[in-house]
Amino acid sequence: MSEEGLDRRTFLKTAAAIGTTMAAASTVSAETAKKPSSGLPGERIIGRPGSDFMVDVIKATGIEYIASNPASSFRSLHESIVNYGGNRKPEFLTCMHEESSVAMAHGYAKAAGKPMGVLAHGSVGLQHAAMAVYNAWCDRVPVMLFAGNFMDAAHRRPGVEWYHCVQDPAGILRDYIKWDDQPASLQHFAESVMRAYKFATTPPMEPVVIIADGMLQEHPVDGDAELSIPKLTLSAPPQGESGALKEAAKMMASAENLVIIADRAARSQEGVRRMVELAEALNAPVVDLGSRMNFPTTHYLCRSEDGRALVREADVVLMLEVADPWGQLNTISDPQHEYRRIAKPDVKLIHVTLADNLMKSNYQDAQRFCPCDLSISGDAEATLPALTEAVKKEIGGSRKSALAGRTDKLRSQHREMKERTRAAAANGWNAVPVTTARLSAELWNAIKGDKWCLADSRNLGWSARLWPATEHYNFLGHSGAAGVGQIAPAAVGAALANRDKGILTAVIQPDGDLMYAPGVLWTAAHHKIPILMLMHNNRAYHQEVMHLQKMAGLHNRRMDTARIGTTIENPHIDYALLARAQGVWAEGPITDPAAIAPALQRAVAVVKRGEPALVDVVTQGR
Amino acid sequence: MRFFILLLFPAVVFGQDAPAGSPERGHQAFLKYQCYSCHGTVGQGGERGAGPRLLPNLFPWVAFSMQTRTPRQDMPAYRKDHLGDQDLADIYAYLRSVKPSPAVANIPQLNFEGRR
Ligand code: HEC
Ligand SMILES: Cc1ncc(C[n+]2csc(CCOP(=O)(O)OP(=O)(O)O)c2C)c(N)n1
Repeated sequence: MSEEGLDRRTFLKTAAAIGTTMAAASTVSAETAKKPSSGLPGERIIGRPGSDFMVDVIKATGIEYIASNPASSFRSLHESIVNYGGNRKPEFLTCMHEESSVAMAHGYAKAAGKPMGVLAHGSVGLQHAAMAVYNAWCDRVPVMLFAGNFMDAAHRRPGVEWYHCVQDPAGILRDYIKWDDQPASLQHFAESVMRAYKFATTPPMEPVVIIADGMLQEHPVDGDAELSIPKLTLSAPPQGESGALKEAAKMMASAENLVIIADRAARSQEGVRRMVELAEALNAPVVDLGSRMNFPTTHYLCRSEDGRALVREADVVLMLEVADPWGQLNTISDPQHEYRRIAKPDVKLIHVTLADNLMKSNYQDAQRFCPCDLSISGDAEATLPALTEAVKKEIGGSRKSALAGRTDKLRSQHREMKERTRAAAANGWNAVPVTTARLSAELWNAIKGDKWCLADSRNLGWSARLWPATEHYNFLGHSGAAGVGQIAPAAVGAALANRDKGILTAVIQPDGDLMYAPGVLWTAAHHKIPILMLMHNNRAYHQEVMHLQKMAGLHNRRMDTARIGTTIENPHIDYALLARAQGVWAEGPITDPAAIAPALQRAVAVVKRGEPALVDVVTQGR
Repeated sequence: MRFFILLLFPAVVFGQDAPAGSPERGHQAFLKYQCYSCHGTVGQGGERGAGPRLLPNLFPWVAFSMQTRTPRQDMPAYRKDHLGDQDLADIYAYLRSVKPSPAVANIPQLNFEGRR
């Protein structure tokens, strides 16, 4: 009570004196709510807190979900979302870690094609959120991150609230967000949210941060009539300059061995279609690096596994939003750090990218500088139509038929690639622990009858290599920065977006990744997010086992100690139990490869009921 | 270089038989020295550049032992101090004893043709 400035004795005295007025005070109109009362604190009502207006603003952006771990710095906004906003659009998603909130928003944005909101404590919450924000940054994915903070020190409650306040909340993230603001008024909030949303969704798309000041949330709206929510109009993505496209078309049309390498090129199915159109116009093989689903794996020009060999022979390479262009033409060996050139010394490189528009210094996501013969600043998907048009103009009759003459060979090369992959997948088919290829193939067979999405298509590359995929929603790429712990929550976020679209979401879930924040399983159960989680349980941080072996080899030391500090065994974690403890249907651990298919069948039935399911399979390391 | 010369002259390679080894002990050594972490427990190969498949078509013994002692590229070197000659011979015997995998045509799960 003393915290409220009124001790028990004073309260009782006052209550006796004004007893009769109490009943009347219990019904307060919105009108009186605005006027500060001179009576008891309990009499005071704020009928229209600033946070209500904030909800109006968030609703105006079309954000449908807010992933959050609850915290006092945004308690007013939380309450406004739930009561004033009716907990619909946005709906509050209870998360068990801020890293999970942001990673869920990351996965959601890739599946939904629009950002999700996240709400976090400005201090400790953003500290937890940081790695997930970095993943989204490196993956060029928009996230609308809101954070609470009490800027006015005179209003802060002593103790914990001070620990949880910060002068510059977004400072900890500023190296890997596109923009942030700490609005000082509600009008300022409205304008900055619209600006943030616009920035976040204009390619290169990135996370943004808006601070919702605590007092701004909790104080009554002052002059509602003067407040306005600006109209939100998203920017059309930038297209490459036409002269440069013409030059690129010339170079490609006259190339003997052209290779197209795509990484974050397609943003939609239309992008995939445009990719096919360009590749077919040039009859050129496409290497999909897979940060997005860029090219149908069934198309005869898909040669994603032959990348190195194709680059070695290439005289011209077209890159479309490739995160690491240098790494496609060169490599550094591991663990010797020796430089090796892959491409011919005089290969001509054309790159359509927005990488040059991102200007941050501290984190090294720019990758190694790669000299380029023609660098075109533009969004790949938006640039494809004009580029293809220019290519078609360049390719005359005789050139066209010469290119067409390559089709048979290209078809058989594609077929050979697929056969090689299948043969490799058959290797060790009945092995125990289960091979990663079998894990992938069994999953495909369980979901192939549905519209499907594999939420992380990089971690276990078999799927991108084996599965026939034609739709942009099939593969969602990877975490961006390989900050481990992203796969599980991002998959749950993607599954939420796909739930609303009738697409079945699956994820091949590494054990180490899940254990960073396994509470996301509870979030999936609580919010009835249907996801099929198939454990790739190699009982290790397996990547690190191999690193230790490489170091031991280099140092000429024993190799049998490489499992110290790198494995997750003794005791083994029971992932089915972990899932069931949180309300998720689960089976496992499965060691017999023949038991996977029936378990997956049961799991798919659960997912089709609208619930999450986990199947734990003990697997080979890689 | 030495490695490639050996590969180029099959007579040199195949002329030498592998030393005798025990498949059972070899299996244990394959696990203990953790060849399996990159190559898989039955030499099927690992994902994402971990290590190539060792089977089918196991390297001839000389090339096999040379690769293990002085790898040609990224594989960690297993020198005699930490992997004895007998262990290596046992590992080789184990790999030779691994049953062949079924053919793709006999694995329905790997029939992706015409499926969507
Ligand atoms: C850290 C990963 C790693 C470990 C552990 C490892 N290898 Fe390798 N191995 C590789 C890689 C990578 C290659 C490809 C060639 C290279 O880089 O030297 C390879 C190649 C080979 C080859 C040649 C096959 C080919 O097609 O190139 C043989 C044989 C081989 N390893 C045997 C072994 C044996 C036996 C052990 C255990 C005593 C072992 N390896 C442990 C990574 C590993
Ligand atoms: C946050 C973070 N911590 C540590 C690492 C280093 N790291 C890279 S891979 C890896 C192992 C991940 O284990 P798991 O998810 O089970 O995948 P596995 O390597 O076993 O396939 C670790 C710890 C990282 N990338 N990110």
